[in-house]
Amino acid sequence: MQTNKVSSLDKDDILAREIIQENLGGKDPDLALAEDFLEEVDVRLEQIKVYYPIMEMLRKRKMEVEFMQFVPELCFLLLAYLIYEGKLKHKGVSFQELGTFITKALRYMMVNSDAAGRELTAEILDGLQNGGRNFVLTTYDFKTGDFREKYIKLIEIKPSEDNVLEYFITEQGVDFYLRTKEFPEETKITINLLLFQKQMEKGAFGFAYETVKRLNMEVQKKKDKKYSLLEALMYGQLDSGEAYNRYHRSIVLQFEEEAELFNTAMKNVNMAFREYVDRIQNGLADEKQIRTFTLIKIIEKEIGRAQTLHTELLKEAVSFTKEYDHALGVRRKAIFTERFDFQNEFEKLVSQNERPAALKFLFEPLMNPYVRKQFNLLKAFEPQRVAQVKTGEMEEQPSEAVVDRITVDKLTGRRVRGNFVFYAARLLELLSIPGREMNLKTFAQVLVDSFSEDSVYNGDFISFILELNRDKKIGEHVKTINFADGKLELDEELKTIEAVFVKAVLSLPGQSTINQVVIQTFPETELELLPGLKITDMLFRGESKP
Amino acid sequence: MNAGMIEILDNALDILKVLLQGEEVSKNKNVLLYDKYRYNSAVEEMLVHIANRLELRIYTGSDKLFVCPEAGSRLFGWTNEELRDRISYVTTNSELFTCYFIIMTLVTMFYREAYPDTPVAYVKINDLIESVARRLENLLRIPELEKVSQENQFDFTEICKVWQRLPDAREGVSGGKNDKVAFVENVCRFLYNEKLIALDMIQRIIYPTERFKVIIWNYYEDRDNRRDLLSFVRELEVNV
Repeated sequence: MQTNKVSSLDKDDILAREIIQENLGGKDPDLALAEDFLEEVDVRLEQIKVYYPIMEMLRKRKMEVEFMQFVPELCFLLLAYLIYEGKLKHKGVSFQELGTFITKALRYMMVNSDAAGRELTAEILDGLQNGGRNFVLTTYDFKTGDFREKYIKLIEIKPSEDNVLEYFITEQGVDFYLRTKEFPEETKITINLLLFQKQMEKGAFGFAYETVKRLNMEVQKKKDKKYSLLEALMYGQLDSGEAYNRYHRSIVLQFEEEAELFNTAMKNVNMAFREYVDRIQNGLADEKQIRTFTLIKIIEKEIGRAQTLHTELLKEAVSFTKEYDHALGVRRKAIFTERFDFQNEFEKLVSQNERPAALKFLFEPLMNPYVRKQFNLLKAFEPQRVAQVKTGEMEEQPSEAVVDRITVDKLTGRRVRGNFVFYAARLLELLSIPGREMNLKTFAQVLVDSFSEDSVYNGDFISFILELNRDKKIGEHVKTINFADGKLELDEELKTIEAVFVKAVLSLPGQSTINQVVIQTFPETELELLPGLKITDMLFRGESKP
Repeated sequence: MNAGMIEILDNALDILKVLLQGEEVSKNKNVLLYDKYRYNSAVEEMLVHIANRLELRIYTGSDKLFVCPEAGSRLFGWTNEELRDRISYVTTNSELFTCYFIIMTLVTMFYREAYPDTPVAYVKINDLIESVARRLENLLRIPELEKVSQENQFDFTEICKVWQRLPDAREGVSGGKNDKVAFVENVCRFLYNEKLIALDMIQRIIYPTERFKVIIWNYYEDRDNRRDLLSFVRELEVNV
């Protein structure tokens, strides 16, 4: 019975294979498998290469030194920190910051770990970078018949503006981190967006926030893909042309779909936002709901950021063509030239034991140009300060500190103060009787009639008018300047407009009958004092207050 | 000369002046000048032309301009005497050549041959010291080294002697400011001042700067530069 069953299965198999062979145009199904293998093997190896570093770290686990045995596991923690505190905040992370974080985390996870933090951080970083040499996975290519090297770099170092080394997670690093618990590449943005919609609809804002953060990272990752592709191209990886096409296809095809989902996601957030605003405005929201509203605001910001990044992505995809061409150009150049062989040239010099001075020429182009500075003979004719030394009667040189030098600032200050006092005095003359009023037009006309147009065109006049209106609150149109409260200290600086008026009163002959000026402005009325000089109309009134 | 040409010349000279003053011209600093270079090919051509006439090379990378002297430039290159003044605690030519040896060892640790990026992300200072020591030990094993050395005033035997004389702080014999470790660190500081490397003395690692990478990829990849450079090296060997 058993035998019959097996043979019927065999029959089915043979039949199935026949049908498949027919569909394959008569090709042997086994060979079709081999063909698939040839097509797919490199893609498969490409998929697994990001796992190579962790496998190496697990293999090289150091058991003999305390805490160092945790390096392979802790690399996930360090990568997470580089993603959340570095990548998503668009900045590098210093060794110091990483050390502090690992120490804090260790203290939380296990006792008696205080001393280990910094050494452990250095060890994790070193492990993740394979001692500075990066990871190289050698694979065999059946199509070309030779071995190929695949480079894996999970983190990288760049010096900051201040030349401090900062750590960044690479696109491969993010890829590795996400792949250990995530969805397939092409669908990540879409899945996250759909997930986000569901979470927003159900009011699961906590989860929605996590999703939007992840979404942001995915978009960022796609953006970074460009750079790693360019790098791959520079290194001359054969399949980079195909990878470029794949990248372009994925951006263009998915972009529209994703853009639509983003719009829906934004609508969802806005709906939730409005709902909570209404609730809060109607006084129906409790403390918890107000907190939730804060979370929605953060989500709104995050999704907005992701959407902006997403738009940038398309722009970059367009400019990528140009950069791709440039990289191709560089590579073409490299194909026709022989690379400079540093090691060989160095060894040649050393092994022949010739003059080591020749070594300088090998690295000299790397140095900064040496800009020589020479003594200019003409300097000899420049005025020199001659030190006079007379025995017995040393003349005391006046020190610089006691010399009263008048600077341009001081001169300007004096002029402005003088002009302000002049305008204030003229205003007081015209408002000499309490209750008398005069508008700006009349004031300016009097000045022009008495002292020519220059007195009004003078920049200090406009400054004076502005100063009269300074410190008014928004919406206020009246300002009172009281200059007789007896508390004013009159110094040369005349730091306030009140002090200016006091000085103006003192400059006038006789006793002034007013001690207060009220300025009322009319923002809706603009008057042209002189051709081309427009200003808001205003009214001045002199008052006498006890 | 017409006004347009004068403007192009002025722009190119402005950029060169700022670069020679040691300032940065990039998308972050001296942005106007950088944009003139980036978006005006006439300015770019003029700058490259003037620089070449002055035995300089201009390169761009990471949105930044870099200037470097060509090998053997009399105008902008360093003499041995000037370099002795620049590198701390180096007073004799033998010591200076030992510095050259260390620099070349470091370059070859990063690059076996010119490439757009270094396959090595960083080098540990201790690994550099080990590599220098290992190379010099091998050199000492060459049987006729002493014989060849007698013919030259300066040769690699001198470098070996300088290295041997330095106390070995790795074995706990510290020579203060003048042991093997301190000597290599001094060279590293010099390279740091030349903006070729970044140093992290906590982790004791050396990291190549963008300037380093850009010059390696551009200068050494240029066929003419390579030819000139090697002819310099060869001439010096012949003229002993």
